[in-house]
Amino acid sequence: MLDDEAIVFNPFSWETHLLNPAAAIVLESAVSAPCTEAGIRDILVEVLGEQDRPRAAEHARSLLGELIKARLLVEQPLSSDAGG
Amino acid sequence: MRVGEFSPSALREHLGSGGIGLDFGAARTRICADAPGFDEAFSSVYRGYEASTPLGFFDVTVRLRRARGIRRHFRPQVELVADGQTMFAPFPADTHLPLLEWGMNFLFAQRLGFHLLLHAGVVELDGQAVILPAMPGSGKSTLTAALANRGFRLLSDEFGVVRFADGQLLPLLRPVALKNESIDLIARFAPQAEIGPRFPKTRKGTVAHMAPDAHSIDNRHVPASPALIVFPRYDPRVECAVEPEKRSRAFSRLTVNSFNYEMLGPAAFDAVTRLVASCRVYRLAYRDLDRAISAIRELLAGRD
Repeated sequence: MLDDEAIVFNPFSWETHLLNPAAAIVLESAVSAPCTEAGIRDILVEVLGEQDRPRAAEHARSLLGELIKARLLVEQPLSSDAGG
Repeated sequence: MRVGEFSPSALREHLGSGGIGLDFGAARTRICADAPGFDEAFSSVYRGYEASTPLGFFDVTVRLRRARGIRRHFRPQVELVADGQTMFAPFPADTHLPLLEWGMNFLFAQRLGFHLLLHAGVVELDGQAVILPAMPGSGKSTLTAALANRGFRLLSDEFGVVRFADGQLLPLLRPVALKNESIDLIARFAPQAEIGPRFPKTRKGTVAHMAPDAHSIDNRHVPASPALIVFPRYDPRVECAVEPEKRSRAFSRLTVNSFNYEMLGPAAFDAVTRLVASCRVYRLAYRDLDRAISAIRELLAGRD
């Protein structure tokens, strides 16, 4: 983390990314354990506050899309025995 | 023996035969030349450098020579050959020194991959390095030249050479390339500055080179610790304005202003991370060189 943003180096693509605070928190969570879109939404609600819950779902979807596009996250189908 | 101590004929003979070795600090170059008028221009900006025998290891070997072909009869040209290969299209014969300098910049950027190379001016005061990264046309070389004429040691006006092992800044000390209005500006600002011949009508307009001072040359093997990163921008509307820059933004700007960040991958990422974390970072807009230098001194002293 540098100030409130994060600089991330992707060792597979050798690309460097500048992440805003929300993206940094989401990536940190996803790196520590696999998570679902709903899980990301809950993390964002914590960051943004309960009043922004309606926006959080949309925000989570677009953030995940950006992180997947940047190849920082990989999308996987939920397995039948997955808890999330 | 220093370049300036050669007689004109001896210098011409050395350049035209085995060449002359120059040590810039982070890199060594062997320079050979057979181009009318080059030896005089070369001597005017490299006079303080020790000229070594052309034997041993050199990071770059370059030869300036008259271009061949029918064109030479009505419009003489020079070309630059590096390690046996011709680089770039030939230049007009009277722009030999700019061709040499641009050619060496290009070759260093390609070959010094064992260091992180930033496109930046670097000066030092009391062991603290000030890094001035910027895109061309931002006033980086002008400010670097001005600082070098006000008590700062010059490390480079073009390359911020970061040693991976310890993050220290290494000098890659060559003449400062001044362009267009900057030439007269520095000549007025520092009448003692040794500025070589002017080369009008180059691809970048009129170009002249300022010779480094003796203290900087003698200390070209002394590294400096990174202390301050200042992104300079010449702005005729602003006398001098300093603002803190976010470290994350500084990181991005440094990578954009690097010659080899993308080639070096994780090593470069770690080096830039360490550099940004160890320095205070600012943006500086200026039109008044004295004010800009005072501002940098204040920042180095820890006052912002």
